[in-house]
Amino acid sequence: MKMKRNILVTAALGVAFLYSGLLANAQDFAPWPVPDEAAAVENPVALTKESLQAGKSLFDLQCKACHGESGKGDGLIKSANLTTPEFLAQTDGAIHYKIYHGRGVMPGFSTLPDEQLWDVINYVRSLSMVRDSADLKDATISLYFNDAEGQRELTAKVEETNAEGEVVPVAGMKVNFAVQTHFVLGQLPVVPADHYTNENGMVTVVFNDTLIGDGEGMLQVVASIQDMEYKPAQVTEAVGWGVPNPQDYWTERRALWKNNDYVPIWLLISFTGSALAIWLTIVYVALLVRKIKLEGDRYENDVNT
Amino acid sequence: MKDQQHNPTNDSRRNFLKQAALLGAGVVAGAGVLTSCSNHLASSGEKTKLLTATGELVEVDPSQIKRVRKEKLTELQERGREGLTGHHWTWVIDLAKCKNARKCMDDCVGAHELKPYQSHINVLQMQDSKSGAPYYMPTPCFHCDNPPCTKVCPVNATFKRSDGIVLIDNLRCIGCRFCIAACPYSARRFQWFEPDYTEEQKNRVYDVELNVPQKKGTITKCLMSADRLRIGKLPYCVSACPNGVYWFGDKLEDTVTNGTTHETVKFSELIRDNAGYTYFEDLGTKPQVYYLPPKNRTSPYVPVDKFQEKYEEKRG
Repeated sequence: MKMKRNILVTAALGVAFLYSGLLANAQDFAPWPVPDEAAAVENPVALTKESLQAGKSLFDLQCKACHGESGKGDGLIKSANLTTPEFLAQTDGAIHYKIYHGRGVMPGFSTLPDEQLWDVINYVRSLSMVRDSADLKDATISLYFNDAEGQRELTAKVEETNAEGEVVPVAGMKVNFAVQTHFVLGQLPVVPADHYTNENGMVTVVFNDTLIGDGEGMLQVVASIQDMEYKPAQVTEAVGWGVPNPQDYWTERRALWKNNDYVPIWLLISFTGSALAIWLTIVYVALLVRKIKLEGDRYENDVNT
Repeated sequence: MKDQQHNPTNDSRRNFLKQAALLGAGVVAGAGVLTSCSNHLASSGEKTKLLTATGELVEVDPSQIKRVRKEKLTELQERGREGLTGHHWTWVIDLAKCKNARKCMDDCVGAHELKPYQSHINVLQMQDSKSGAPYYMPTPCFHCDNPPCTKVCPVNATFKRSDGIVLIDNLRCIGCRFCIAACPYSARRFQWFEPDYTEEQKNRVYDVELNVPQKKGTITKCLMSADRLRIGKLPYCVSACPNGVYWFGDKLEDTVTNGTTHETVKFSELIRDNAGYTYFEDLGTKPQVYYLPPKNRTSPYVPVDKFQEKYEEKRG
């Protein structure tokens, strides 16, 4: 009985060990001392809308998975809450030191440009300000295609309804252009650089990439906005600018299911035929040997009599 | 000389003819019984021997025999056999990012209702040579384009779909484990024990794309979360990773999406720029899971025995 318990305890420990992995360890949440000279460094990047937007894109890419969309530490693994008063009491220099060096589960981002780290710090500080989605403004986005003179262009127009009920264009809005893949979350960016709307609320980008569409070469182009002051909005339009998808990857369907279900007739006939021929030859040779034996017996009889 | 004393040739011919006549009569009689079965003739007083599903030999009146049609496959089983058209799924695993968090394994175990040690994806501690740098390597099924496992299956229970996924139908599986022996990557698991199910859970309709409910005495393996792909979602393990290890996508569309950051890039460019490779490709299996070499790591490698130390520290 005791032995059984021991085994159980060992098994439980083993499982716990397997799962401990690099997950939340006590050490990862212990106080994190920062050298005074590092904490004294001041943030060289001013708190502007551009800085916040750049910070947001980097945060979404590198930090969101663990710290969560709202920065409360509710991502895929248990991590530090970036909205507590204790966290915000730190200087920008101290936060920069921690992001740069990392500790335990938190990776160090020393390879990223310093300016981007300061952008993220600006953005992280803005996370604790409660933003009610009702406070955000509504904007509509529309997408147009232009295929003139061998140049393919995408044009997006962003508009909003102002207090007087008039539809007015939104200037200086960042618009992302992408192509929708099979996965809801998978949007392949069409143009890498940032594009902002002009005073007419319009932004035009050149689209000269060769992308693979569906069977007819149709691409699902998505134009979307993500702004601190506006609700996220997007528009999806289909356009035949892609290369047709080959659809059937399998030149030889024999690789699918079991091979003998897809065996070609010529192979079946030639294989069976040659196997048959070999057996017939063996039988023929055996008959000849028997004939030799009978001849020999007859010769012996003749000699004896 | 001896042969001429009592003519055996003629005897055997007569015997042969006798037997042939008997056999012919038997065939005719058998066919008669069978036709009478299907036509529901009136009771003739004769009994027919039948083997029941439980292995008992019973005698029944031929008039009582009713032919039943083979049960149709359920929708969940049928759709699992056909791949999604216009797709060829592919997977890129960035070894530089893996920190052995084992979130993928947890989610796999949860989704496929497995015991913890049966996870379809396993994270291995690797070191290519004594002087080489160690790294962690998640190993799912590689969904080979030339799979050795499907070819050895005697009952066609495991198969490759047209969208590239190698699946297992555990209603057909007889548990011979030939496929385990054939797979060079140890990607398949055998259900040695009864899963911890209630009666209700056990009687659910079998979903071949999820391999649930699991069944004792059958094979279970990585399915690329075929049920999730159908609804445009990334596989369970891919979306559970906190470190951005997994890129999942479509070779025909030439795009892959990161499960953590949802960044989407061109598959061919990712493989070209990072020198992606497949595992044991010299075996001719054409694996569909690619690895990116463990270079430019953002955090230092922590060996597995360090986890043990940390765990003991935590216990005090």
